Amino acid sequence: MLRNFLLAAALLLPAPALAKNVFDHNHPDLDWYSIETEHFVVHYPQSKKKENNKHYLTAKWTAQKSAKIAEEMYPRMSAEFNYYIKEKVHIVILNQGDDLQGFTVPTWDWIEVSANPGSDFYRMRSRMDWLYDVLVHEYAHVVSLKAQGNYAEGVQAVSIGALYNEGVGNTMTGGEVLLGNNEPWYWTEGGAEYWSDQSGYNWWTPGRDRTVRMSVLEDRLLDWDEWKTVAQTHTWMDGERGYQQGYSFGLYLRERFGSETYNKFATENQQGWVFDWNDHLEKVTGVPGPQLYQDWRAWVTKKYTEQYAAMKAEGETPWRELALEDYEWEYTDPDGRDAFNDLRWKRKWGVTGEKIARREREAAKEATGRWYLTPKWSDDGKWFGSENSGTLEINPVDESLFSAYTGTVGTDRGETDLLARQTLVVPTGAWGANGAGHDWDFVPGQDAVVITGAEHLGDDKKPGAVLLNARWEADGYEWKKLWYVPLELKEHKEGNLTYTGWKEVDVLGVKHPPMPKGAYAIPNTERGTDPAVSPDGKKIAYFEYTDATMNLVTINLDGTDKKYLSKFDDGTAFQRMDWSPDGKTIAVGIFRNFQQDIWLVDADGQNWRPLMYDRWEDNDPEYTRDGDLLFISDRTGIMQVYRWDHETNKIAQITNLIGSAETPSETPDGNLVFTSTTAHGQKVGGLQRADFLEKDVTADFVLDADPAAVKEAWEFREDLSMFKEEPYRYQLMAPSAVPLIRITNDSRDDLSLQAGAAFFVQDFIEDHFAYAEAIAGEDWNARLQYMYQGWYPNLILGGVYGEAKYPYGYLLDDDNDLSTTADQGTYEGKQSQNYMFGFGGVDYPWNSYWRSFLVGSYIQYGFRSTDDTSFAQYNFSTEVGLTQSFSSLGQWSASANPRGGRSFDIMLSRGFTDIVYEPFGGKTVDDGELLDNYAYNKAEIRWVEQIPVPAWGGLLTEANQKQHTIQLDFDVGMIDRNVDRNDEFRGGGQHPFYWGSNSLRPNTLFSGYPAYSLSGETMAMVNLAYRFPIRRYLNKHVGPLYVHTITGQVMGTAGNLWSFTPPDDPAKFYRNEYGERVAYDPADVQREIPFIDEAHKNGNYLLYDAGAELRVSSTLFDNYYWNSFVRVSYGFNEIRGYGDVNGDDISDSTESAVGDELSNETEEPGFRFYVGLGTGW
Amino acid sequence: MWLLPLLSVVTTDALAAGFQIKTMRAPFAAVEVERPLVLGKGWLEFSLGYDHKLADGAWSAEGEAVQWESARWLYTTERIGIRYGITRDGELYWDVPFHYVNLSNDALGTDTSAFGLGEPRFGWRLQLFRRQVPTTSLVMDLQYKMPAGSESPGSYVGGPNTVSTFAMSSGQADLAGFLRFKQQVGPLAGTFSAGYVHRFSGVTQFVIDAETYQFAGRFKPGSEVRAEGELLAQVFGPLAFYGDATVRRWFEGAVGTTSGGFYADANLDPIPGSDGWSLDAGGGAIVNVTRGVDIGASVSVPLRGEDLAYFPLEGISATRGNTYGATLELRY
Repeated sequence: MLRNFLLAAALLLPAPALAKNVFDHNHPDLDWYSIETEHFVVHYPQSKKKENNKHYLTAKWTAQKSAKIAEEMYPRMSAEFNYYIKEKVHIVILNQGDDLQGFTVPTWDWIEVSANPGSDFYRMRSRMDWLYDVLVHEYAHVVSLKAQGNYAEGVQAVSIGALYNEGVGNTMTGGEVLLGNNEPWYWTEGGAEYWSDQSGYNWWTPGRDRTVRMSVLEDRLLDWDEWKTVAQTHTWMDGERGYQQGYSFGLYLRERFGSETYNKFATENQQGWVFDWNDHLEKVTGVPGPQLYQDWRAWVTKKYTEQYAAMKAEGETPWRELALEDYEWEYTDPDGRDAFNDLRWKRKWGVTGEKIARREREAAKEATGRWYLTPKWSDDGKWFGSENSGTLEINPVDESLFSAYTGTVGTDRGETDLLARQTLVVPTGAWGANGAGHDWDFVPGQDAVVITGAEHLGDDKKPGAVLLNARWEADGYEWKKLWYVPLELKEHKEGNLTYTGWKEVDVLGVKHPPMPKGAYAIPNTERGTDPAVSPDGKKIAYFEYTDATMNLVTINLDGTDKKYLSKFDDGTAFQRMDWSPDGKTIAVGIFRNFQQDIWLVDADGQNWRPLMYDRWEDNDPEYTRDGDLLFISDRTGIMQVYRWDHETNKIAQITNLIGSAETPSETPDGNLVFTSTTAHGQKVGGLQRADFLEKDVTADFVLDADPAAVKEAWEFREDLSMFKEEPYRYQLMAPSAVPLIRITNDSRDDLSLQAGAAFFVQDFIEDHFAYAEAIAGEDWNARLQYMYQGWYPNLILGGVYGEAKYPYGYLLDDDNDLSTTADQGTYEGKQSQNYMFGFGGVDYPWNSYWRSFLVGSYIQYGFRSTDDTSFAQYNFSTEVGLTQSFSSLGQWSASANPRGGRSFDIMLSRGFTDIVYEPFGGKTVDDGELLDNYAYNKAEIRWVEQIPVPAWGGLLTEANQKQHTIQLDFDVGMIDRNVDRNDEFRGGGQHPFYWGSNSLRPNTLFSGYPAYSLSGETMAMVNLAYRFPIRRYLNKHVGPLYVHTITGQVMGTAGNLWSFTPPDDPAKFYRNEYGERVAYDPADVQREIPFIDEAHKNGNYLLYDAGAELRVSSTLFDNYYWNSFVRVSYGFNEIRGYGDVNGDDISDSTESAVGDELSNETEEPGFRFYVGLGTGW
Repeated sequence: MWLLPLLSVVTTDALAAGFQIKTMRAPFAAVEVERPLVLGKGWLEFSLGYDHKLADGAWSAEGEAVQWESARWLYTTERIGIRYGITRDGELYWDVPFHYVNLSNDALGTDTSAFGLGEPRFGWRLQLFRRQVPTTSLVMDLQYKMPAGSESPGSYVGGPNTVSTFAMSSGQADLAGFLRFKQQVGPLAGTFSAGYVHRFSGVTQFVIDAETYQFAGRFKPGSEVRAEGELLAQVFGPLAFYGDATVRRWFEGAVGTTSGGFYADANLDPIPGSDGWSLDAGGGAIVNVTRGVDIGASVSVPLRGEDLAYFPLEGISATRGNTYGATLELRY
C-alpha cells in the first residue's frame, strides 16, 4: 500500500511555472496593436496611461519602421536560400523595459525585439544602427533555420529518457537525451550575420573587425571545439567573438568557394538528420571541417598580422593600461610576456594542461577589467572615475600615480592597496537591467557626480536590504534615470592601517557601499542617459530615449526647467556628448539616415550643425580644456582618437592603436585617457601627450558639407503612414510538441515503456499560455495547465489525471518465524491506482529575486484491485498555501558549482483531508490515531546558502581562487497535528529525473536513505556540502559531447523527520484487523519532540549520511545542455518503516520483532548509488 | 491531443494564426492510391474511428467454427488516432482505443457491460525507399502496445460467466516490427506487409493465484508473425475501394509466477495448445473528400481462427464475428 501513495506523490508535482520570456512582470497597463503586411504581423504596445505619465510608452514608430524593414528584407533573405516563407512571421516590439532584446523562435514564427538596444550594443558594433541590424539578423535565423530543419516545425525535439530503480543494490540510474536539430553555433549566429551581409544590410563594421582582430593578435580565437557549441566558454566577449568568427568564416568561404557556400549547409542538412552536422562542411566544400577551420584561421592571421605590421611601420602610439597594479610579467621583464604566453603561468599556479593554463592567463588579464568605458578626471584633477560593467568606480587619485603617464613601472604595493580601498563603487543599476556603457559626469565645483542610474537604484543597498535585494518594483518598471551622487569620504581603520575611504556597511561580514548620503534621483529624468554637466555646474544635458529614438534634453540638477533641444521621432540615435568649456555649445554624436557624425548645437537648442558630414563612423565627442574637440572615427578602419582644432578647423589623428581607442578624455595634465579593446577586456588606457601621433588628416574629413544637402537630410522624415495599426487580436503561435518516450520500472523485473507528448502553445504577446502533456504505457497520465499573464499576478490553473499499475511481492510466513522456511510462500499481486490533482492560484514576482505564490489544490487518490469493478476513492484533500520565495542564484542555480547567493522559501498552508476508503470503513489509522477527516496547518522553511570559500590566507585563498564553494542547506517544517502519512513530510534520496534538474534538495538531503523512506509531521535537517571544480576549462569534444567542467562534491546530512507515537500501554489502545495500534483516546498519541524523542517510524533519534559526487557539465550535439552525475551516499543508520523497507520488492508479512505495526524489514546502513546521464544533478 | 478540442471552439480568424500552413510541409497526394505509407513532413492527422463487432460464436481448438447457443458478445472500439510527419521520411503515431463491450446470455440471464480505455499503441514509421509517379513506398514500422486499460475482472474467480466487469488490457506489452511495401500501378495499388509481434510477459490482475485467490500471476501470450495484403483501386476520382486479407500465426503462451532476478519469465509454464493461426478477409471504401479529409468504411470477416483461451481479450484471442468499421481522418 505504501508504494502506491508514493507513486502518486511523484506524479502529481505541478509543472514549473512558466512566465514570459523577457519580463518578470506583466503589464496590464498596456494596450497592444498590430500592423499586418503581406508577410509579417508587427505587434507593439502602447500605454493606456496619458502621455504625461512618467511611464507612458508607445512603440508605434518602431513597429511601422519594422514593418517596412521586414517587407524589404523578405525577398532578399528568401532568395539566399530559395526558401520563400508562406507563413506570416510575427514581430513583437517591446518597449516596457530597457533591456536589449532580440531573439527568434523560428518554429513559432516569432521574433521579439526591443525598441531600444541600450548603449553597449552600439559600442560593440561601432555603429548606432539597431533596427536594421537586429531585424535582419533575426529574420536570417528564421529563414536559415527553417530551410535547414530536418524536423517538422511542430516538433522541437524528441525526448527519450529512462530511470531504473534497483532496491536491493540501492542504485538509481537515469538518463535523458533530446534528439533535435543540431546545427552548430558558429553557423547559426555567424550565419545570421553573414546572410545579413549577403542580403545587403550588414557589413564588416569596425566593431566586428576589432573583435576578431584582437582575438587573432592575442591568441584568443575560439578553437574548433569551442566555436561549434552554443554553450562554450564563458569569458569576456565569447558571445560576440562567436558571432563574428562565424561571420568571418562565412566571408572566407565566400572568397574561397563562392557566396552560396554557407547556404548550402542548410540544403544539405535538410536531407536528413546526421550525427555531426559539421560533416556537411566536407560534403559541400570537399574539405573536412577541422581543416577548413585551420585554413580560415591562417587567413585571418595573415590579414591581421599584416595590418598590424603596417600600423607599426606608420608608428604605433605606445599606451598602457591604467590599472592599480602593474603586472610584472606585462611590463618589467621583456621576457615576461613571452613566458606568460608560453604558458609558464601554469607552473606558477601549480596547474597542468594547456587549456586550463591558457584560461588562467586569460582570467588574469581579464581581472583588470572587462568593460571599462568613459574614463575621465574631474576638472579640478581631484577625482578619477570610470564606468565598469554597470558600476562607476571613483578614486581620489592623481594621474601621476599611473605608469602610463610617468613611464615608471612598478607602483608601490602599499599605495595600490590603499587605492583599492579608496575605490568608491557606485552601483548605477545600469548593468543587468539596462545594459552598460552609459556616460556619466562630474559636477564642476562640487564633489559629486551625475550618473545614468535606474529608478529604484539604492533601494536594495540600504542596510538590511542589501542581502535580500528588497527592491520594490511592483509596477514592473525599472527604467533608467539620472541620479545625483555626492562623493563622500570617511576615515577607516583596519588593523594598524588608517586610511580615508568610502563609507561601508557591514552585513554578516560582507562589506557593501551604501548609496552615499545626499544621493537622489533627479526628477523628470525617466529614460534619461549619458548625462553631461554644464561647466557652471547648474545644468545637465542628457539623452532621453523611447520608441527607438533619442532626443537631447537639458534640465537643472533639481529636475526643473526641462527643455528638449531636439524633437526626433524617427529612430535617431545619440551617443556621448559634452559641453564646450564656455558652456555655449554642446557636441554630440548622432546616427541618422545611415549617417554617423559629430554635430554641434547651441545650448538653447538652436543652430544644429554638423562638425563633419562624411562616410566615416564618427562619435564620442569630448571637449578639451582649451575648447578643441576630441572624437573617434574609423577613418583607418580602426576606431582612433582625433582632435579637431576649433581655431584652425584642422583635424589631427592622436592615437594609432591596433585595439582601437574610444571614449577619449583629456587629463588635467593634457594627456589622454581612453578605453581600448583587447582580447581580454575593454581596458582603460593612458597615452602621454608627448606620444600623440599628431597626424594632420583634415583632408579625409568633410568639414564643409553642402548646407542645403545637410538641411534636407536633417529635415527628412520618412513616411510610414501606409502601415496602419489595428487593435491586437489574440493570435496563437504555432503549437509545439515534444514527443516523450520513457522507460521506467515499478519493480526490479518490470521495466515498461511510456510514450506520449508534451504540447505547448501561447499567443504572441504571451498573455495566454497553455501546456498539456499526455503519456501512456502501463501507466498513463494527462496534464493540462493554463496560465494567464495579462494581469499583475500570473493566474494559474491546472489539472492532472492518471492511472498507474504496480506489481508487488508478498511474503507469507505462517509461524511468523523467518528461520523456518517450509511455511513461507512468496506471492505476487498487482494493484491499480488513480489520482486526480487540480490546482489554481496566483504567482507574483516582486522583482527578479522575490516571488509570491498563493495556490489552492485538490488531491484525490483511488485504488482498484482485482476484485474491483471501479476505483474506490481513498481520500479527498484540499490545501491552500502561500509561498514566499527568494533566490539570488539566478541562472547559476542549475550550474555545476553555484557560488555566491542564496535561496529560501517559506511555505505556509492550511489543508483539509477526508478519508473515504470503503474497505477501511472511511477511516484510516496513522501513528495510533483513527483519522476520518481533519484540518491541519503546515509550515516549511528551506534555506540554501552558496558560500565561496573565503580567501583567508594560504590554502583557503588557493581554494577560493579555484572556486571552491560551501553549500549549506536547511530544511525545517512542522504540521500542527497528526495527519495521514500522505500529508506528512517526506525524506530520502531522489533521482533528479522526473523532478527537474534545477533542484538541489534531492541532491544532498538524506541521499543515503531510500526515496520517501522517511516521513513525519516535524522535519529538521541540515546538509553541508563542499564543492570543488576538478576541471574547470576542459572544453573538449568527446564524440557528440562537449565537456565543459568536472566538479566534485562531498556532503553530509544530519537531522530527522519526527512523527507521533502510538501509546505503549496496552490499556490505552486496541489493535484493529490489520494489527495496528489504535488509541482509545487520541490524546494518548504523543507528538515526538525533535532531537529528544526517537522517531518511532524510522527508529532513530537522529539520522546521518555522507556522500560524494562527480558532476560533469556538457553539451550534447552542440546544442543541448547535457549534465550528468555520479553520486554515492552512505546512510549511517538502520531505519525501519512500513511495507517493503529493504527494497527487494517483497513485503514481508512476518510480525516485527518489537511487536509493533511497522514492517519486520529494515534497511541496513549502507551505500546508495545514483547515476544520471543528461538528467542534471 | 489537447489542442485539437481547443481548436473546435475557436471562432475568430485571429486565433487561427498559429495553424497557418507552413512552408516546410511536404506535398501530399490528394487521392489514396498515390499516397506513400508515411505521412509527409509537417502533416498532422487526427482520426476518429469506430469498429463494431457482434460475435455469436468462437473457434474450437482445432479451428472449427463454434456457434454459441445463447450468448452474444458485443465488442466495439472507439478510436482516436494521431499521426505526425516528424521528418521527411519519418512518422510518429499514437493510437488510443476505448472499448464498449457487452456480454449477454439469455439462458443465464446475465447482461454485463463495461467501457474503458484499451491498449494504446505508439509507433514510428520510417520510409526506407520512395518513388513518386507512380508511388513506390517501402516502410519500416516499429510499434509498441501499452497495457494501460483496466485489467480487473471484478472478481477473484475468473471465467466468462462469473466476471462482473471486463478487462480491457492483457496486462502486458508488445513490441512489433513490420516491413510494408506499396506499389501503385495507375489507379491500382497493392500493399503487402509482414512482421513479428513480440509479446512480453507481465504480472496481470486477471491471472489469479488458484490457491489463495488473493494474488496474481505472470502471463505471457504467444508472440506472433503476421502478413497482410491489400489491393486498392481508385476508380471514381476521390473514391477508392480495397480488399484485404490478414493471416496470423501465434505461438504458445505461458503462465506462472515471476522468477527472481532480471529475467522474470524463467518460472513460466507453457499453455499447451495455445498456439494457432487465423485468417481474416475484408474490404472497404475510402472517400478522399479533400486532401485534408477522408471518410472510410470497412468490413472484416473472420475466415479461420483457433481457440478462445483468453476471452475477453480480443487482441490476443478473437471471437468469431464480422467487424464493421468507419473512420474519419482530418489532416492539416
